Amino acid sequence: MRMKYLVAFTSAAIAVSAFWFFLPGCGKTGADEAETELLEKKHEAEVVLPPEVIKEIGLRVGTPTRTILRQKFIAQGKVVVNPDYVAHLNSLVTGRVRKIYVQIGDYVKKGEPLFELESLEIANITADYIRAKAEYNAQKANYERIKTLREEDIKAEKDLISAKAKFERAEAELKAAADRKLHSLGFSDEDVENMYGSKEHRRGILVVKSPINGYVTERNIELGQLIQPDTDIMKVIDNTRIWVEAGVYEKDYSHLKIGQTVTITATALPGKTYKGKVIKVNKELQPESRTFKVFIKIEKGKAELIPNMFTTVAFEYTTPDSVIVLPEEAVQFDGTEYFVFVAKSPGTFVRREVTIGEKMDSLVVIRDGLENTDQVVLSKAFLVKSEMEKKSFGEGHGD
Amino acid sequence: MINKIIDFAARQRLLVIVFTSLLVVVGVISLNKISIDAFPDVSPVLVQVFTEAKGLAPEEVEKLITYPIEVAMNGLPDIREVKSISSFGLSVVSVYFEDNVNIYFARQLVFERLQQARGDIPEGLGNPELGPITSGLGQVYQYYLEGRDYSLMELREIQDWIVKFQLRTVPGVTGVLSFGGEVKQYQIKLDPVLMQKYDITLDEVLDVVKSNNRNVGGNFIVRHSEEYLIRGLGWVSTLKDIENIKVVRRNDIPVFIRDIAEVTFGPEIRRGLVSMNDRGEVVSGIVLKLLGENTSTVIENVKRKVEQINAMLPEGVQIIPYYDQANLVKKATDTVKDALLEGGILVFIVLLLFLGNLRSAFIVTLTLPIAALTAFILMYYMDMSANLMSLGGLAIGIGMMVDGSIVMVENIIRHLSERNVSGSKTIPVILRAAREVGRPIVFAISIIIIVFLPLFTLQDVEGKLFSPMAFSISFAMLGSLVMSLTFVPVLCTYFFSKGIKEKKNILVGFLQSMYIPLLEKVLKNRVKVTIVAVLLLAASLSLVPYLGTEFVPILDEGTLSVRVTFAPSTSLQQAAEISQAMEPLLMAFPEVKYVISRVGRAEVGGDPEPVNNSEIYIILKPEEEWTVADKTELVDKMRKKLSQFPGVLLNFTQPIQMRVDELLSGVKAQLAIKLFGEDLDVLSRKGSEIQAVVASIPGAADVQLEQISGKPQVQIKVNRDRIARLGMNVDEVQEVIETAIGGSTVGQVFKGQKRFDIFVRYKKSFRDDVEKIKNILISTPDGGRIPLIQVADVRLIVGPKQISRDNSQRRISIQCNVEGRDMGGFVAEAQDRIAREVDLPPGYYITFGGQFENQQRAMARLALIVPLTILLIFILLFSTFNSVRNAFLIIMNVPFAMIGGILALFVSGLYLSVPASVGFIALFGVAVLNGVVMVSYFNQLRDEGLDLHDAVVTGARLRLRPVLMTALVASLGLVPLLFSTGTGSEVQRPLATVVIGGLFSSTLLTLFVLPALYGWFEKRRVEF
Repeated sequence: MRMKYLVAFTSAAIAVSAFWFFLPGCGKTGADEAETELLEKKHEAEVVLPPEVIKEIGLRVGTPTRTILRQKFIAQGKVVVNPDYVAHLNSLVTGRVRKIYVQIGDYVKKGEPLFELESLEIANITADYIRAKAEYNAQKANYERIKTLREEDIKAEKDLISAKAKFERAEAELKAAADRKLHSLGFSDEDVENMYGSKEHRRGILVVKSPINGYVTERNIELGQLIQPDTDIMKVIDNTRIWVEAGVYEKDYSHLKIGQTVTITATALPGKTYKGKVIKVNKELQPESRTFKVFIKIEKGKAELIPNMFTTVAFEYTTPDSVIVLPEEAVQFDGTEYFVFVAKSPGTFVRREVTIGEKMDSLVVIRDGLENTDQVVLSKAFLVKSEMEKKSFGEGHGD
Repeated sequence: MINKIIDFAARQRLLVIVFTSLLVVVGVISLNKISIDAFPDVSPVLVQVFTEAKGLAPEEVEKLITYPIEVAMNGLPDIREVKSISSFGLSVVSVYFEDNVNIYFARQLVFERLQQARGDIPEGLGNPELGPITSGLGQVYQYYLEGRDYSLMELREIQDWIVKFQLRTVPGVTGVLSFGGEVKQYQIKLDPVLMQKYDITLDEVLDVVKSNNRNVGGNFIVRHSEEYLIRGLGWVSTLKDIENIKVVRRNDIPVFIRDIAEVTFGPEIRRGLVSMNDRGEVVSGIVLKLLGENTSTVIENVKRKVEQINAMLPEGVQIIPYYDQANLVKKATDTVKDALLEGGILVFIVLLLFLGNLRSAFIVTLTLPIAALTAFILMYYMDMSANLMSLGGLAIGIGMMVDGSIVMVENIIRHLSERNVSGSKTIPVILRAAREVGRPIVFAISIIIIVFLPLFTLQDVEGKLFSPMAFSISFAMLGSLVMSLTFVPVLCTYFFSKGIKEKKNILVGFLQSMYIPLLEKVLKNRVKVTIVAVLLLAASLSLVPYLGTEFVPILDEGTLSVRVTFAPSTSLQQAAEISQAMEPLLMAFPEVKYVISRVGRAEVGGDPEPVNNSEIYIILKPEEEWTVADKTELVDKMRKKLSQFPGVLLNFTQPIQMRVDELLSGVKAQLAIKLFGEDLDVLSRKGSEIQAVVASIPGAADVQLEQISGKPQVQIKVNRDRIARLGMNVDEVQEVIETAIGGSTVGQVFKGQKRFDIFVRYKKSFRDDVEKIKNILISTPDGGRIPLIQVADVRLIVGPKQISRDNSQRRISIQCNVEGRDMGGFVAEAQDRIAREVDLPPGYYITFGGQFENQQRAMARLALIVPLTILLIFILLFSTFNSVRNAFLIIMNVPFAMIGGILALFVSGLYLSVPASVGFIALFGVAVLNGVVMVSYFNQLRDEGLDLHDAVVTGARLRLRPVLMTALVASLGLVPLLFSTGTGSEVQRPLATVVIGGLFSSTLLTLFVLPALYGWFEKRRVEF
């Protein structure tokens, strides 16, 4: 019986081991292959594309362009009036508005009356003036008389000197005390001239006239209003004399030059552009906006621009020499280097590292690495790159 | 016990008939109700957590979102693995559970932990959500919307708010993913110049939109005994409403949104699109089946719903399906059904020829459908589905199912004709005959069931694939056992009530006249014959190393799909452009019905594909219309055609296969080599070395390195010194990057049940270029604005594209398919070569996964279990014969049976796969049975006093018929599978090949070598 079991288990063991023998499929050892030089391959790799594929994917090959690259930077700005053509009208003295000649938006010529002001102070000053004038006239007449008399040796030299001194004092008085005060108040020479003979003015009335041609843009008075010396009464500006003021950021300062050409677009006037030139640069950086104020003179079409309109200003500048440029699409980047694909022969492309410079309007300056005559992949270079990356993975051994 | 059953059946004949009829009825009902799938679903128990993090780069997604979720998932019970992928704007964490975990329980666990993870994800970065309750087989129905007069945006709106809404109500549908088209948004496109002019900051705009879009409830008032509800209506509903939102007031003049922005409808930022052969971009949808639902029923319901929806869609808009699994299910089940039917007919013919009696052949064949129906009943109650594998089990079992009945009927006929009785006297005779073979039948069928036991022990994928087969076979065998003991004898009493005179069977007589002289010769040359047999065995075993190995042959789904991978930095537009250029090339193949490309990914919840990926579905015409020989040739031609596109990697696969591969191993190919380690650069570098090695191994196809890097980034690094001088916070700069460049959603517009996002972003012309980004203005606390470049360093780098982690460890995978070669040999070579040629830094290690992993595991399991089973059979034999010699003699049939199986595999060029192993298992059963039949009869004759030689010759002559019959029905039942080319035949063919080849050799050995050996084994008994 024991024998029986022994045989039973040996036989079972044979069956079992037979099974083990056949179950796991033994592997075959692979052929030896040279070690893969993966990284070196990357730079030597070529991509060969058949012509029909090149056509299918729309790949373009051509020489790079050599050109003077126009570049630009952008700044925000607004239309301002040339400060020379802005007139603020106000009063140095307290007074009452007697008459208003204009409304906001009215065009006034230089010297046209804008409004009349009635003031005790003016009356006083006028009176002072008239008094001084009278004194002056008297002294002048006196001096001239003594002068004549002295010429005829009738009067003593001392009298002449005394008369002259009096005359000069009166003259100074007239000029300083009266004439200048009146001018300060806004009376013109003519007004002052006329004043002596005119009753009007003696009543203390000032007719304020426009100092420039332009539009009335502010009128802060009403009839009979009492004006204090600090009130802005009216503003006249000549909006044909406009500038554009732009805020240029620090980063662009080095490209900024007097005389630089700019292109201006206004938000309110879409589709239109205006050419201009930089005429003044404020050398101080505005602390809040962190910009430099730049003033631009517009060359043409400035009548359309209204003061305070928002504008965008493109400052143009160029590279000093002509440079090689490529479309941005042609230049590829792998994380560390920029490169392009050069056709060694038609349809065979190799990678070429380049140093890039500025970018402008989808063009890139190639500082180094390319010749004018190189045949470069200009479009769809990305697809060549992906093909090359695929190759460098080691695929496609068999074909 | 067995006799009691037989006795009972004989007494209650009518009851047996009624019971059997009832069984048939219930069986037919079960057959109609059973869920039908194409394949068993091998998807693991998987809960996916999707987190959409709009605009975030992979590094941030990994750190801020994936990591907290992964950490929260650690320590869940029954967890197997946690995998994650962090890519641009999306984090997907996949939590794999053990197979026995209920999916809903698993989801609940994950959901609970997710609450905890939510707290760790920084506010506003993303909201983790669970993926749909579906599996790799879940994308059962896919369609696109036809509507030529409608824009992509309009169609997507119809898809999202009508079609999807309706389809989601279909029972069994767990979700519908919209794919392609443009999602409508109310977009506020800010003009930074105007904002600067009006001195408006980004924050002000965001705030003001948020605070001008709200409905409130004011409770109610009572008005003359009536309640009036109070509603404050403040929702924006039109573009005009948004335009008219006031932002600030400057000098008493309000500045509106319209003054500083353009408000329009626009498309949401998209990460995927779908295009189709001749119509360019389309809007499509993917219907996801709820896990465990009946595929064909769901598809039927969906189709019915689609008809309804089509009727209610606007004029000219139609849902057109482009892929549905119903076809596949039908084809797969048809393949097996045909095989079953044809096999049944062949079995019937064999029986007719050997039994020479129509009635007996009929009785035996009748047990076939009844056994099958029994299997269906049990399958239905066990919630199993009828699919390629479970039905395949029935097809394989055809021959074995009739074994019991054959023995029974044969014995009854023998007894009846020997005794020559008729009328009521037949019953006792039949009863006696039945009792005589009762025990052997139970024994035989138990052996068959036992040999299939190993299949129940398979784990994982192979378990899910092959246990249905083992179940259905066992069920059917059980049915056949019951039938052969009860129904068959009872039926005999009716059919043979007039008695039976067995005629001389010409075929059997002829075979016997051929056989006996040969046997005599063999018996004279025992030693020589034995040596030849052993040599044959040795020779065939030596062939084993030359058999390729693979897991399971690839099932032909009838639909091709090719995954096109572009360079990692490729944009959606570029990927779409090339995909669309590929479409006409594919359409030019006369085999192709139509082509649909899916670039990038669908809504969240689908496959998290990056935009540099395109999956092209190639729907093929029926094979009869093909101009190429087979699929391999077609794929080769297509690959050649498509690979002319520069910079694309191609991976030919099939829709379901790809999805299942990915769920199982995380890659979408058969073999996944994973390199684990910390540094992404090192992973990338070493990964490409490994890739180079793998690509140089013969048989490697579609070798791809996971693209973990190569996504260019514009890095904006805030300069802390400079912002400090301006009195700014980093956040003030970051917000501009986030909202001005990236854009953000500030609210929603409600239109009935539709809702659309309000999206704020700078106008494209101010942010679509690095130079422009550098010049984007940032408000300073002083009220000024300065360009970004003055407070931050902007540089270009190439960064990671996605970060994949398995169990919290970063990894890179190299995937490949193996073509024209066996998987096992390929992997062995790859392992060897990589070990020799790639030098890994410390802390880095490699694992091999994918199908290979399954194969190894399955084979290891079989290598343990099958011998144990053989041992079990041996013990069973021993207990039956009470003789080690007999048991050993019979078990000798097992290795000899292998000869034919191995040779058949070798000659047919098929690989040693799991199905082939199953074939060997089935083979062992039949071989052992034949041995039992032979040896037991020899013993019986010896007991009756015949001498050794006479006992062997007589026994062999009389047992020629049952042995040949058993072998023939078993092998002929499989012949249809061998020659079938239908869907799923790939899996069954190796099995059929092994069984047929093995039965050929085993039958020869049973008939010749066994009698020869019997002498030696029995000699000693003579001497006693």
